[in-house]
Amino acid sequence: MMLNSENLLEIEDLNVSFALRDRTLNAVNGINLSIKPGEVLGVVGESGSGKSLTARAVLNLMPRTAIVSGSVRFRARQGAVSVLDHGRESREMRALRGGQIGMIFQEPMTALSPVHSVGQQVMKTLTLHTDLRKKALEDRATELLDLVQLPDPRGMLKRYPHQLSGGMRQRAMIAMALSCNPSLLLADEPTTALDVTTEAQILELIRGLQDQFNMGVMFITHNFGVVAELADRVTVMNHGIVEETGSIDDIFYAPRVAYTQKLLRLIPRLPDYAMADSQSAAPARVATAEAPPKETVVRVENLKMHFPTKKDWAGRVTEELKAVDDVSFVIRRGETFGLVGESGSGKSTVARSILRAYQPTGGSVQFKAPDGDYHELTALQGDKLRAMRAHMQMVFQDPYSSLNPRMTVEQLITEPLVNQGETRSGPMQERAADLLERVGLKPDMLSRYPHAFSGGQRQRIGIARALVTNPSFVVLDESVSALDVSIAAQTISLLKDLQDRLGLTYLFITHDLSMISNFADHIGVMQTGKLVETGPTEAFFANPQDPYSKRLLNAVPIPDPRRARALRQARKEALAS
Amino acid sequence: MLWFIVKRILWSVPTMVLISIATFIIIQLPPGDYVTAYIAELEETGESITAVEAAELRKSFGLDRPLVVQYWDWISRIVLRGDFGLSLDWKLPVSDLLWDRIALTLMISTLSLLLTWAIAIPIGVYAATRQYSVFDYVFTVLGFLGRGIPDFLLALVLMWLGFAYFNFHVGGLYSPGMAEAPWSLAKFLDLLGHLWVPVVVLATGGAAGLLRVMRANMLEELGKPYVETAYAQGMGEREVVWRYPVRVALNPFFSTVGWALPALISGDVITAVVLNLPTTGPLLLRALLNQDMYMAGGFILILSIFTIIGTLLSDILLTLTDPRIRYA
Repeated sequence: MMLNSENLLEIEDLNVSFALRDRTLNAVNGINLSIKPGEVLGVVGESGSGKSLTARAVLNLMPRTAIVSGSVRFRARQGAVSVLDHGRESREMRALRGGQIGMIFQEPMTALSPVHSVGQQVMKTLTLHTDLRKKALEDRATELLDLVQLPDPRGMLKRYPHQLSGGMRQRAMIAMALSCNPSLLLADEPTTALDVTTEAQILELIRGLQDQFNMGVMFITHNFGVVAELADRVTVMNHGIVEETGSIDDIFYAPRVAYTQKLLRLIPRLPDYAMADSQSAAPARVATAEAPPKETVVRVENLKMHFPTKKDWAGRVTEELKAVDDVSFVIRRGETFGLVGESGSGKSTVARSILRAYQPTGGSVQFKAPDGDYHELTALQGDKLRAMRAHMQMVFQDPYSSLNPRMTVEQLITEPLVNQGETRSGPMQERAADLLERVGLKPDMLSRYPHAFSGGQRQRIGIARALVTNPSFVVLDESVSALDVSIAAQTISLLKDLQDRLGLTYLFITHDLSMISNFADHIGVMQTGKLVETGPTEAFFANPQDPYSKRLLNAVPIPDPRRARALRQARKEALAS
Repeated sequence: MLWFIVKRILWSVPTMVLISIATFIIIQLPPGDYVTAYIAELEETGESITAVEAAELRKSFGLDRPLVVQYWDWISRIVLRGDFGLSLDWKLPVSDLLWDRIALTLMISTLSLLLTWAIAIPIGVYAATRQYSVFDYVFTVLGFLGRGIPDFLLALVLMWLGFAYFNFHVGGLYSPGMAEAPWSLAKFLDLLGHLWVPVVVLATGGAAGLLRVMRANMLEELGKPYVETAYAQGMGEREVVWRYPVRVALNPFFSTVGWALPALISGDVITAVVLNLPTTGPLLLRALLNQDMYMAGGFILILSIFTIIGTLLSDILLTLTDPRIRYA
């Protein structure tokens, strides 16, 4: 078995396939890649590209039904090991997993056992691979939790995953992966589920530890911004093959393959002026953008939504969560208001309070209906509320769970009309067919069920459903967050196109600043239930006022490695001086 | 934690009071009373009694007093003296009749519950880890068969097999002549020789259902990322499976173990009748059929109290096993 003396890991002609009922699914199709000691290889690709399976092949932990060929060679402490030649359950493989190859996963919420404490889980890895026991074991676990900068590491040993935030769990996960000083770290989308500010911290942590222990890292992600922050080399994967591999600068500034070029073109980027270093670079367009003010469609004033969290014995509320606390803004006709913030900031609660999925505990929401009058939404009840809902619709985040799998596309799309009291009829079917065409699907798909569609197509069905009642106002709640880069780009242009043609007014809720910077006319930033800043998009990105907005904007990973390096250097110098 | 338990216990007091009232109302609901049923029974045998005699009977049983008084009389005796009143049907104290049978009922039910778990959990776990294997299919078929065949039918088949081919004495819990004998090793062995039939019958039906639940729970847990994390730490399959997903998949069992307690007492009435077991099930059935109100009331009350205690136990067990509940 040959392993190039320079390499820590070599994957040669890896094939992974699954036998389906009527055909063979080739998930990984002849992959070649290598990682040197101390090198960070970014593996980028959209869903279904085979990147996660490749990482699992390194640990020989693929699904049992997988048919595998090819070779994975790893330079272990005892010498070169050909991973796929050993059984999944063999002692050799178990010694490598966690002992010499660490792995961290995407879902900080579910990747740790819910019934074992953080300490138990970190110490488990140590007991499997070292002779440490009792006091020494506990000391080492404490040391590791300290290494990943968790507060009060000794107390942390006894805490359970559900008591920690997502970022803290990911730190605990990293402590587990690093506990036995692995020479290779596999990281499968470790920051995808985190907020941007947390993501920036975790990336910095991984970079620091990689430096400190000179680990090889295989960093799997769909996010070019994250790759630019971290990787030395990049492999771009697509449908089970490697499109190209190259140094980070080559991939970003001189991509050879059409697929890479397309992805780089489609990823949402912050506008240039947002990244200008001085505030004077704010574009002149801000000053000239003084168009005549459009009419207000939605006016939110002092909106409050407080949820009781504790009651005393008599049922009186003693503690409450101020999910939305005194929020005011206006949305004008034909415009998009981008409401941004991290998870738990209350942005979705604002949308639900406006649409009256919740009864707000205070404030007012004025909505201009097609009859020309303003209606106080917070005061509507019963049939009047139901009728008003025809004018306001919502597109959800998850294209999988937001469509009832037992309904056909036609039933799904026409459901809002039925809710409005109409009976299913020929014209209704025509309307559904017409909408399907508008969102770029074929009318003959009406009789099919959601499972027959891809994520992007499902989201289009969700959009068609939102438009069936001819609404004037649509709430988009993270509506492109679950989609792949190219699909998200298509969906965004569809949404823009529909807005122009139908004169729609959008409230776009998102955590993705790069995406919304190219979409919204106005931006509002939420933090812990409060709206900390609002303003026209360009002014906001050029010169954010609130300290939290600045922090949020700084944390956005930028798909530009040269810039990322320069920023890192500047930060280092600032720390040194 | 301690405060949680104390709070739960305190809450169970008013619950019990409400249940006792509900119980009393329920046993008063059917038209007529014990005397009506008694007269009907007499008439069947050709005898009859006059209206005066009937009134006398009612008075002697205390059935003529207002309901509230009857209730108070009934409940205060139970609480203060453990006296559940006199079974109108058996003319014996209810408590004697009940406690006699509760010990045996508990034994049969506990054994069958343990057997149920011993069968269902390992098979459910294995079937889930090897989903769609031959083993999984075999036990899926057996599971549905076990679910589908009524317990009493299985009991009859086992009785017939035991009697026709192995020359066992089946039915009841003792051989003739042993039932009244004082406790001895011979009697105990005789009991064991009879016990296996009801235990197997009750366990197979339960295990078949539980197997499916365990398999489904495990399948859900096995797909969760923390299982992959455990493999990536270097654990072997057996350790991963039993240490992680089984722990979590058992939580629904802990939360329903409390329901097993009242089920233990009421038992499987039909099976018990078929097998002629001296357990509580047939007794309850007869008390209900005969409008033996103190008997039935005592029964329902005890079942309800067991339900409350069982739920309390479940809650405590669950807080012990699931930190998400303990620290919520």
